[in-house]
Amino acid sequence: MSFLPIFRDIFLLEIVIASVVFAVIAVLLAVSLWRRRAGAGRPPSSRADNMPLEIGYAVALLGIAIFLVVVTANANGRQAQRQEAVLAAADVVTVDVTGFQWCWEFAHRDGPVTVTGACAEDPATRPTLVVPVGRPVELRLTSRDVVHAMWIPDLALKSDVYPDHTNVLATTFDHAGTWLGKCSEFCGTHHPTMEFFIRAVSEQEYQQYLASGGASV
Amino acid sequence: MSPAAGLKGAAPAHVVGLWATLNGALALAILFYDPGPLPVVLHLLGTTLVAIYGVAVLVTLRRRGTGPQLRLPYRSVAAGATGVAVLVLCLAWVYGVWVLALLPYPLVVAVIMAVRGERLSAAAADASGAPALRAPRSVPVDRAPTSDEVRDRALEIHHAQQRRRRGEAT
Amino acid sequence: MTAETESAQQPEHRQEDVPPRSRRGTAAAWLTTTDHKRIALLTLGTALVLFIVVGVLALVVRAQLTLPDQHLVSNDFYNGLFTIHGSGMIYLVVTPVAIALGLYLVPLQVGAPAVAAPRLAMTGFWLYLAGTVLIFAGFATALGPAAGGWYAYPPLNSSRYLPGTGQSLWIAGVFIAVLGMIFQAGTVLWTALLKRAKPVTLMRMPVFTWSSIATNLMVIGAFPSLLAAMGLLAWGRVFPNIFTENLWNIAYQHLFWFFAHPVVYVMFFPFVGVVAEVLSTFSGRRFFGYRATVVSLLTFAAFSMSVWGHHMFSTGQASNDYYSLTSILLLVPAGVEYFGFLATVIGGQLRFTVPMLFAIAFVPQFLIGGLTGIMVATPVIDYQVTDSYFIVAHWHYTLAAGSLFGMFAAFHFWFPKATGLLLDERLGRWQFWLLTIGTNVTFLPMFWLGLEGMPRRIATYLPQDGFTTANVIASAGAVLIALSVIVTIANVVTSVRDRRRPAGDDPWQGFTLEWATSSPPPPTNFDREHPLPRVPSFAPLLDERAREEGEERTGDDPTEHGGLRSGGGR
Repeated sequence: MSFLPIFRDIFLLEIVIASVVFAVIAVLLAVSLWRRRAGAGRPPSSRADNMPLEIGYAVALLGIAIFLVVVTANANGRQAQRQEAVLAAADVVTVDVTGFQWCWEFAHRDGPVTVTGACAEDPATRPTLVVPVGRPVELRLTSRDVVHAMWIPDLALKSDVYPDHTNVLATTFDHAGTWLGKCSEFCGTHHPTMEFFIRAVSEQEYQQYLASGGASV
Repeated sequence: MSPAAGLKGAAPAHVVGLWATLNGALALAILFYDPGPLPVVLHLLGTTLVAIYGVAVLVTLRRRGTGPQLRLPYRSVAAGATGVAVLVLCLAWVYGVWVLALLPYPLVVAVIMAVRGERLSAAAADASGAPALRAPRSVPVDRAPTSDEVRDRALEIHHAQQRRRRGEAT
Repeated sequence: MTAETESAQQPEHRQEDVPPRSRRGTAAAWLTTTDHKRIALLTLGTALVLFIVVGVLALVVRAQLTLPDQHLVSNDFYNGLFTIHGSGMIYLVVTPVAIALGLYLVPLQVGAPAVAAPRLAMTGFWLYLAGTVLIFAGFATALGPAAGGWYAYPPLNSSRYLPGTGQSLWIAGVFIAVLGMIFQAGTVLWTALLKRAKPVTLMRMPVFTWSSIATNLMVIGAFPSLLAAMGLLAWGRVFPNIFTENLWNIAYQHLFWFFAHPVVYVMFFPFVGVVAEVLSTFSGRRFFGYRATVVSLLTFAAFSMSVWGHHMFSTGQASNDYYSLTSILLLVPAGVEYFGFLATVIGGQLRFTVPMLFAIAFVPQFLIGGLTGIMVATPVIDYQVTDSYFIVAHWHYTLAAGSLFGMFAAFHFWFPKATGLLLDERLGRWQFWLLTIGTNVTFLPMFWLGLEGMPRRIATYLPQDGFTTANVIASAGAVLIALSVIVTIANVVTSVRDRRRPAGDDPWQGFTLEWATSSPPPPTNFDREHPLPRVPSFAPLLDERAREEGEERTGDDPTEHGGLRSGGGR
């Protein structure tokens, strides 16, 4: 789960900063609206500017901006590094994911297993992508027709899925579970039902799954 | 206004020019991020468009084409005709070339009106009795009164007459 | 009707300061006008009507999403609804309002009798109208209106996947409507740069005029890119095979977003200018930090041309760190503008009129849009929230809670200038509170929906998704927004029909030149009855009043000995 912790950390950081900024500005605004209402009888200031204050303030803002840029670039770099580390691993599990109007196809390179979904109205028709726990997993994403996007909200995993281009999502699942995945790039009539499940199972179960040619485990 | 009027006078061009320069700098900064050719070209094209506008501003400044517009077209049939012509072109693209049969009329109207039909010369406006230019701060009006202004004026005279008549009656 | 004939027969009973109906002119005079005010009013009027029409589409969208597993409309029609809602609001409502507001105000604020190249500006209006007709003509076609989203990515929008005529009409309509906007923007920019009255130097232009300059620079630089994108898409309608190649798909996205990020600021900057004018007018003081704000507007605009890639973080085909850098740096100029807003209010003596209320609400509400904007400019956050309702909430906070409030501030502020009639304050307050509550109730839950995993543009969802509560709340808010719009329409209709509240030349004690002329202004803006006043700074009428007061009190001019520090003019 290389994506979720980084997303959480940075999101939390920015929520805190944003909340503080919002609170400061809201309080300043509210207080001055009260103190400066016409009934309070304070005459308006005739001051047009205060250059040292404004320049100092702009420099402080620049400092905050640079801090955020560095934190952001650093987080993005860490994420890229983790993906690269996963891809470099010897025991990586590679699955070719193909989006099409309107469902998904998962082809496991380790075994002759290909799952193609139908994605009809009934949720039972959604395809399931089975992956092993603890081993690095590489999802190679491509599309057969229009642009889609693979999104697993609970794992903060997302990438666009293009025709004539392969995007890679690489991660490791550290515990077993089943999550809902969606198409998040608008792709036409049945975009809302273009969902799938992703299921992380133990290595043993995964091997069983491959050996049985994709029978449910 | 001051001895630095030469520099001051070109200020509008500087605004556009600096803006385009900053954009060019940002376009070059992207090169450090290895973006491929497309974003750079796009960026430079956008900058170029603004720069061309800036050059136009500069040329106009040099020719002293600044200050309030004194000569105005008095109507804009050409605008409507151009709009219709472009609409027809678009429809031709969507529904097929037969729509183009509708094109000549608005196009001809647009061209004729744009070329000669809609602009009064300064002399003509003076002859037609545009408001006097004596008041020092008033903006010269270089056109014939529009039909509704003429009608307003007529209405005013009519009302004045009515008032006078009623005044006599009482 | 009876009122009209009565006033014609008994002119002495007519209120002299209410503009008589006869001044409005014939339809032919309006449709071939070269008066920038009339061109602007035609554009603004069209945009406001479309605001209502396109807003109704959003109500249908909200109705469909209120409860899970609803099928009030088919998926395809739903896609058409949000496409026309989104593209309509962006291409046909907020952008035209942003540019036409400048077309109305800039010549007035710089003391010019007319806009440069008025026929080009009028052509802009006609093209915009023609584009609107084409886009809405899609509803009359067999396969319905365009349904590819407002950014119309290929290959989905090629004729292979969306074969409907509505789609082609949409492309043509967007192309010419945007072409029209480029024309208008060019004329306004030319007027502000070169056609100013002699005493109005650059640094004596009001903040709104500066915001309009920054806006129109972006239009000149970025909008042609959309024309290219629409051209590419049109090519793909004829030869859909080109979009089997990734090159053209990604090229389209670059072309599109190169236009579409600056357009976000085109829809925002003029309203920064509006809010600055309104705040300073009703604070009874000149805008604080004028020079810093001018510089920040221009810098902001220049940077906005370099941030488009942040819409493409999840494509895996953009230089994310660069776009993240430029996007986050935008917080500096934005922060400087906010400093100006707050400092103006902090040192003011506030009058809480309706335009002022809208301007005040703009400040914290747009701030939410801005702060979440920094979040989505952070790639590791954007990877998760892009294409989810978090994004929908984010830009509805910038556009609906931000620009729309600026738009209504402008509407209430300048309506008396354009018509000579004041709007009803009481109804205005009703509108304000309904809109404020409605907007926040509608869009705040969407942040949560996005984090919970609701993707954008889904026609329906299932009960087990857990999106129901937030969607019900959002739809309830949409009802409040609709009520607020109904109150607004009632306000305008009754005010114009009854003609009871003459505005006079300067109902608000305004600072800028448009308040020195009559309401509505004469055809050439300033005439013998309303000559151009002295323009010693960017708030000439404030200077005038201060001078008169000073003369009354002390017999001298406070501007002479620094009693009033002017931000510009030297």
